[in-house]
Amino acid sequence: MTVSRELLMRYHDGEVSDEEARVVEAALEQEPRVLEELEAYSELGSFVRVWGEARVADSFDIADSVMQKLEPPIARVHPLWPRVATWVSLGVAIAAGSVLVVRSWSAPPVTPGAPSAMRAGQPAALALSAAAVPEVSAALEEEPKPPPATIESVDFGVNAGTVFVVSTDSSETPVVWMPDDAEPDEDDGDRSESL
Amino acid sequence: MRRASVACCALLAALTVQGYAISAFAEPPPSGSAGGPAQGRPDSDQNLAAEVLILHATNEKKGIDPRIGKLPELGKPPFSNYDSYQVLDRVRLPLKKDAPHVLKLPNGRTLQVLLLDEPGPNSVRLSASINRPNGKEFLPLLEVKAHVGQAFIVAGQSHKKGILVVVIRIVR
Repeated sequence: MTVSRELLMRYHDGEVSDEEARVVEAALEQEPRVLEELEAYSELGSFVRVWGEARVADSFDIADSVMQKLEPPIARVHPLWPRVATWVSLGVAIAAGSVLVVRSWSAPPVTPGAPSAMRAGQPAALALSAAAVPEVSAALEEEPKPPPATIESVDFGVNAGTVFVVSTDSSETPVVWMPDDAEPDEDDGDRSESL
Repeated sequence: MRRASVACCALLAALTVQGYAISAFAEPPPSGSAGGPAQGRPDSDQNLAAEVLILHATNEKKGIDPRIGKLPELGKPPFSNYDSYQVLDRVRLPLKKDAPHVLKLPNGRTLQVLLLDEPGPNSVRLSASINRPNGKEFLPLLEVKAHVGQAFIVAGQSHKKGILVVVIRIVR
């Protein structure tokens, strides 16, 4: 009696009818080869099952390892706000520092004569240093730099005079120059002496 | 979070330093301080004023009076034609509309300063004139527009083997 391999495999898997089962069992009793083949299927099924379980286990390990590798970067991802706040704060701090430096540079230096005079204890030195403070304050108030002082109109009367501008590194100062040698004052004793 | 805290601390520190520096620089000058010849007449408030610095320019090889302070214009022509500058007077004249202030110059003439207008918070239009002792006008009218801290100069009047240099600076 010949049992097909397909039938034998289905018998092994329990997917045969009662009649087919009786045929297979009769063959098993009569033909040892069929029994050996059935046992081979059993071993093969065990192997496949073990191998499948191993694959499942391996795939699980792979996924787990992937997750493990993915988790650290996820853990390193910080919220966006602290980074933005950090850079914005640093930028503002740098800008504030720059403004401070520029303002300190733009402030006019204290007059060189004041310190020595103060050491000498001269009262005039106090007046000079006090007068230098408005210049510093004015320098801060002048940002951005305003236009220079301008002479809008001048009436020299009967005298001669000129108007010009003296330019320096820090300012442009208008000057009204009026020599008065031609007409001495009546009570200008000093000039009378010089004449 | 730690970075944000450090950055915030740095920001606060920078702003604090800046604010301190600005307040230190912008601190108003002390009023009524003793000093030069005319410092007994300071402006007691923080209104606009004209600080009149009267210099005597000569060629007597005395150098530049240290009380003058920083005045780089003296190193430029025609002021550089004189090697000696001495402070004769320093007066602070309050600038108020309809309230002219008169200052007697060392040569006997009088300088009159009047505030005409305040076109801006730190700018003024003022007039200046110089009259002779006999009442005649020497410089009938001079109108100047200037900001706080700026100056203009009236120079050339003869005085004791030299000239007078009148520096008028707008201060607050």
